[in-house]
Amino acid sequence: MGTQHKWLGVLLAALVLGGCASTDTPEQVYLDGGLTGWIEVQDLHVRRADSGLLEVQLTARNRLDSVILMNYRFDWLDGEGRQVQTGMSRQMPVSAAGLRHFTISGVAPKEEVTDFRLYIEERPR
Amino acid sequence: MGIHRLLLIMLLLAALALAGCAQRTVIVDRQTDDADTTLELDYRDFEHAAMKAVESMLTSGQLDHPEGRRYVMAVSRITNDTMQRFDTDQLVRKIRVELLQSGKVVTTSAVSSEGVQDELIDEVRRLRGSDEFREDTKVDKGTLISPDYGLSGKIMQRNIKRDSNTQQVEYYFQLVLTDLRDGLAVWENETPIIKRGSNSSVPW
Repeated sequence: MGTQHKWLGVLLAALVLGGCASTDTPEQVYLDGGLTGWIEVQDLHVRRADSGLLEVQLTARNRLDSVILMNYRFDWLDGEGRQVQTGMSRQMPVSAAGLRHFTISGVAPKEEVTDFRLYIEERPR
Repeated sequence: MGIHRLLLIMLLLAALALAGCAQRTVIVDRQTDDADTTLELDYRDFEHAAMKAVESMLTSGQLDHPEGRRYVMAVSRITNDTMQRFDTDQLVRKIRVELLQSGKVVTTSAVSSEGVQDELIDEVRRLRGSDEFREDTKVDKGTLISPDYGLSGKIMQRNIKRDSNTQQVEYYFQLVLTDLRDGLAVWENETPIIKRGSNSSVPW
């Protein structure tokens, strides 16, 4: 009976931890340390638009029941992995209401851009 | 002698104390600048508004030329309808730079709402009759390119007193891209920037 309780405890712990575990964050997205447990990236949509420019849209969910204020920044990279210098790469504010989805969108500044990095960090109140 | 020495020491101490209190001057790193904002518009607001406008323009599809060439844009009047004094070029230049880099748009300096933007364009054409310049280096007639689009807009400000301590200052960056052939506004964008702060601050 004691052994049964122990296994039940282990099972419950596994379920709880499993519920809290974050889904895989895409490799192009860098979440600031504090955000990794709070923000769940649900979809990263990347497409080459008719304009020839790379368009990115990230959909994520705030796991907390309170608002999270964040800043994000896109770094745009060319085919050789070099960062493309542009004024379009700057910190922008975004917020996520408690337990709600939010999106972050970006458009590459040039057609030469083939990849990107998206940095998201918590913004102090 | 003793009084003079004492005075000198006091002056020295005062100078040291003041130097210690002086605010340091630093160069701001725009990427990591997390300084508190002010009720006035600062460089971050202009960058924010410009970036949102360029993103919106590039994703609208209006700048994708069917023949793959670049559109020619002229800058029309951008009105500063705020209580602050600044050159609207602070916004327009950022937009121009980013659109040029995108390869979608090139801005003409030959036409603007205030006439020719670069006076040298007219000046070099006046040289046509001069014998001092080599004939093959003179600018031919009919070489200027007429713009496809005109960019115009307005930056507005509204001040709202929320309570005895707090005021809200609303800025609206409104931009319009007009097809100059038919006069239709093919793209419009408004970026609001709302700030809230103490009533004791004066937003101009």
